[in-house]
Amino acid sequence: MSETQAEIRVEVDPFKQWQEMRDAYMKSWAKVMGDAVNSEEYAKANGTILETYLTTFAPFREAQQKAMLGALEQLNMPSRADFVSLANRLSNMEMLLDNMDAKLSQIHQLAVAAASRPVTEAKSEAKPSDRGIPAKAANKGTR
Amino acid sequence: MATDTIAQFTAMQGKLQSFTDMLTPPGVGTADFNALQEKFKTLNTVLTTDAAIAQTPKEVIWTLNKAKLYRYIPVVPKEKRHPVPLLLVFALMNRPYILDLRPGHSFVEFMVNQGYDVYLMDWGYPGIEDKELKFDDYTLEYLPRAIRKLKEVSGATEFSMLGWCIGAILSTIYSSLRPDDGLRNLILLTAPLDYSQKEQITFGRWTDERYFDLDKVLAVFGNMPGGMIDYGAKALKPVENYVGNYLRLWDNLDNPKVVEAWHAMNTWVTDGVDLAGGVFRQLIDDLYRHNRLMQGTMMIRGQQVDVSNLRANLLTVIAEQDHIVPPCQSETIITKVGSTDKTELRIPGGHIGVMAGSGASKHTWPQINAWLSARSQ
Repeated sequence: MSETQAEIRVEVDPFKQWQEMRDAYMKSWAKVMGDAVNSEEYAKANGTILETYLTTFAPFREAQQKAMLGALEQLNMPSRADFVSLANRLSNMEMLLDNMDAKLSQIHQLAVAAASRPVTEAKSEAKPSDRGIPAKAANKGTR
Repeated sequence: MATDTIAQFTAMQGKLQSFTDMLTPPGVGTADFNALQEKFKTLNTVLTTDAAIAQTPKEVIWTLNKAKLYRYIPVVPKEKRHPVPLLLVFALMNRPYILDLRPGHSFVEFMVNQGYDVYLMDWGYPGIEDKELKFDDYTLEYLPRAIRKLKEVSGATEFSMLGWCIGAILSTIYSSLRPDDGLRNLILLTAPLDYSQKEQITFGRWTDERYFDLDKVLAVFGNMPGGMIDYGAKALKPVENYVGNYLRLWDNLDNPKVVEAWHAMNTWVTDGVDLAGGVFRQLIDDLYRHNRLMQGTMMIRGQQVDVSNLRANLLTVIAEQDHIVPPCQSETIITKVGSTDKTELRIPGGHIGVMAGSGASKHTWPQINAWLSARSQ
């Protein structure tokens, strides 16, 4: 087999050609579908399907919920509504705890600021002679 | 259903191979057959398992109901870090780990390495008990509390916030209502804020009151199911999402890099979150139908949201090929805010690709970092 024949064989790859055709078809298909979903007709059709689904589904769901609620009451079991109300109460408690956390951290910051103030003031401002304490005695205390 | 079929098909492949081995002389066609079998094995793994995602080390520093605030463990010494912490706020109907998808391809990891103290708001999965939650709750209860904690932990009085998609709506509302809360820099990514150009917004057309009965949907479901939101997002480009996406995977099954990226993205896409009913109602009625945020008539807990109150430095990132939030929805905010330092950045790419696509680490992230680092000293 000559080199030219080998090159020709490599170039003619039916799978690659098929892939290119497929991609070109996909591109044009995507364009058509993109335009379709962006139309008023599609929005209307989508709405009709959803409306039909909801109208069919809602009564069954309501009936099922009523039956389940009755069954749970008979069995002295808590219903979803009970859990929802419990969850809401827990959320409220969490918020109260968060409020307390905020206030505590504010108090902590104020306390830290207050505690650090006399130390720095004592270092810079309070001299033994100002308070009438002999220098030696004052030095003993600070050691 | 699809995963069962694939599993059955893989089992059949095994049986078929034993049968072929019996009939085929040694060495003839086995390599091709093994390669095909390997492809099916990879396909099965990618479609039936979750990729390892969100691996940047972090700790929970605050929780409320389903929401959590994470702090990423800094890797840069404190003296070299930017003093202004960064809070990431993602959408409510998808998981926020798109910002930390996988090692080497994570915005969070990138920003932590750049010396930011990074925090991430995770809204969690709302249950039926959360169906009354509204923008009011997320922007005036959850965000301010989380920000207080962020300030307490970081020791900073100012912070930066990055809001993406619905997260950008939350960030805009919050920063308009609380302009004095210490927000220094605001980054809005593909922000759906302006709904005036209705002919360009497909979602707006689908949820028009003539076709979409909002009350009925919420009466039946309570929250807007994540599956329906996912369908809506995919149906905007049905051929690309339902066919092209899988063909791209099939064509590249022998390319580990593509497979790994596809697997991680598929894990995120299939992990949809229900949207709280109250928020969905506001999103459709206040925004898609009446464009109240841009018109200045949106009310949050009795307060009018006036975006001209927003004074933080603003960067708005627009994805030029975004089909979910077309650029026209993100362009006008820059003319309405009260900020003096404001920048618009247009990047080629789609709604998610602009931050999580293969080019994001080379284009979007460095530009965000350049803008933010100059304003975080």
